[in-house]
Amino acid sequence: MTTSTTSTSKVDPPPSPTYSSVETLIDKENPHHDGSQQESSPGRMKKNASRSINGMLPDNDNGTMPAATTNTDATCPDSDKGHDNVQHPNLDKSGSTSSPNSTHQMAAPDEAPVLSGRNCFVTIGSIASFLPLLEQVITSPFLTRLQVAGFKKLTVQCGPNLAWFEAQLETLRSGDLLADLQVECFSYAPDLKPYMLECRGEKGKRLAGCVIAHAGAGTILEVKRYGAPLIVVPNPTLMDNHQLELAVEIQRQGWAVHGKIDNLPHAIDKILQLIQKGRLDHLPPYRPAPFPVPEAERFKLLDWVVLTCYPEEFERKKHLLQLESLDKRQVQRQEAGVGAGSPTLDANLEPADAARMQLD
Amino acid sequence: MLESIDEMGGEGGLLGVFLALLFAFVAAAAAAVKLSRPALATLVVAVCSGVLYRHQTLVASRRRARGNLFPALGRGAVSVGSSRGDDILGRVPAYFLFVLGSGGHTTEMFETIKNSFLPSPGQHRRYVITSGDGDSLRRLLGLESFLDWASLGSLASSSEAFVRARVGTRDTFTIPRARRVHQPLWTAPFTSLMAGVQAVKAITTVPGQRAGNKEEREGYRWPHVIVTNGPGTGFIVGLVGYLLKLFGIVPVDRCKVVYIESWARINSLSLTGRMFYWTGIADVFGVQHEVLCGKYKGVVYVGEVGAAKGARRGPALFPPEPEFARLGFTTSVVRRGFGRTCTGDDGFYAREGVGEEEKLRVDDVGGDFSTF
Repeated sequence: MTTSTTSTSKVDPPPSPTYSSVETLIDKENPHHDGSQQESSPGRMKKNASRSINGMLPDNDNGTMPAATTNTDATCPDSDKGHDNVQHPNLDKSGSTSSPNSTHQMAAPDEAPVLSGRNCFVTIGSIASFLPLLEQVITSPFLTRLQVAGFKKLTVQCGPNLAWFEAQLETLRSGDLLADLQVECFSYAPDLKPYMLECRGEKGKRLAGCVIAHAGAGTILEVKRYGAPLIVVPNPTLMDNHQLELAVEIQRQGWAVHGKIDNLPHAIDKILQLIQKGRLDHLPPYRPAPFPVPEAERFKLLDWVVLTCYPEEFERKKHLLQLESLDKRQVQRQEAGVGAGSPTLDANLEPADAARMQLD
Repeated sequence: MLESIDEMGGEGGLLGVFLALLFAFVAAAAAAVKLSRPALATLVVAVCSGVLYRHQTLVASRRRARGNLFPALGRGAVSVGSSRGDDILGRVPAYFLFVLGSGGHTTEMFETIKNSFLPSPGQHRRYVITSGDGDSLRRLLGLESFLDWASLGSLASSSEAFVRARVGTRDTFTIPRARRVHQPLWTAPFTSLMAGVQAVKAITTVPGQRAGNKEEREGYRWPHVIVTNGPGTGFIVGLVGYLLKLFGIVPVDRCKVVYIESWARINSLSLTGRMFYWTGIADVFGVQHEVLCGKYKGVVYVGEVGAAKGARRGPALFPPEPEFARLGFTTSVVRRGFGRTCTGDDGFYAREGVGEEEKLRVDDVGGDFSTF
């Protein structure tokens, strides 16, 4: 009864096809598997799919979850290099069987190009300095974890600490820690949109990266709007309860990760899980929300409050609403086949129709 | 009378505060005039009962309006409006007064306006800006040209009359700040008073564009709705509106105050929010997170209207209510809190302890992120 109308109340139907399970995706797009595990890979895929649904981001993360319960193999194009310091219990030796992005790499040459690596963008905001975050960003565990997770580029908005950050960067570049990671930094930019859009995953074009931001409401909303995976790090020095509450709540809601300043690598793991869970590598290209807002989604409360200032007008509209709801109940009952065509139902329909025609 | 006393400290408001202020004012005035005791007593009693009666009228009318406003009274989700494009307002005069604070408050207010905007000729939007807030003014000009452009396209640069006939009129009014940053607190009452006086002018001045003929001027004499979302100035303007109604200058069914708490406020109200709540001067107190519905009685969950449109939780989390979907009723819901967790009919929200079940449902529709 309701299935046909779900689309009317949505702004846009999701352009990307919704796969019922991960293995359908793999079977559709993966023409051939590498390695010798062809027979068992669908089964293995099923197992992984169910694990990815069940092994979800817990609401209260005490850090007790293993580093990766989903197959992060799918997100690490370089995983076959075999980094020792990361535990991947379900690592598939034949890396490409389970990774959606590798299917693109094996696609026909004239189709989508090779997907670029992940981008990480760190922003500390335009108001206050957030040196502790920068200090954590420039440490070896974090940078290593980034590279392991498939990040190729790190952009840092440093605010007032640009000089300090650049100095740190120079000392690091002398070593080989940043062999595979391109690092850029700047102090302020009038518009952070391009940096955030770079971190948004797009199907066939770009892997999802992540934005690591302070817990400012404006920044959080902006990142959310552009659809980039988000790690929120409240500033413990100028933290008031309110910022921390915000970070905890949005992790509870499940669309961002509450990163703690002393454990950023763990936050990277969690964001990878989030990318898996939400299939953020396969988003459609970013489109700004349509305006004016479609009537179904418009916030009408203000209009109704104005209408309460005109009692007669309000009564009329309310009456209209009630008639329509009565009408639809009649229709429902008819559809259910209860007393279809009964005289009482027909009699009830008529006044509603007549009244509606009058009011029109 | 008893009902309004019952409602003190919550929905009804701290009537005592007002009475005390009034009493002090009247006593001071009477002392200046050197009235005799009985005369003074009579005067005080008369004023107080007049104010009480007027307050009672306001509270009753507000309750009636609320009761009408949420047709499915009692509990649960309510859809306000039809998605078939019924213009709720039609051509009636609709005079909105938006109070713009600085920075984040302005951003949220603009998002709320964009989320609720519909081009209609009867609209007038007045923006109250605090002096010294050039940033808000600049962004406001951007917003209004955006609204013009979105409604009219390339015709947005046509004559003023053409634009006005389609998207309505707008103007701004600047009032001094209630309290500047780092201003000593002891001077705050005085600056607030200055701001209050200017707020009276902001509410009382008829918009110039609508002062043409007498009929139109009558329609736009007083703002219908005062919308604010956080800054202290918003509370001043709302309070001024309420006091004008209390003294009978503004009729009862004008100057309705709508307060929308900030999106960033998830578990607790901001200071301005608490002031609005405890004085009870808001006709509609909206919150953007349902958690607050459970903590404060009588607040209304309005959804994430301050967040950017694309940032709202996707349609997967706002499913059409089965019984309304057939006729294309809206899915944007307005819920009423009853001092406990909001119970929504769609079952996606605020069902404590849903846990795994809820998450599975989200996955079923292809992930809540695919609809960004």
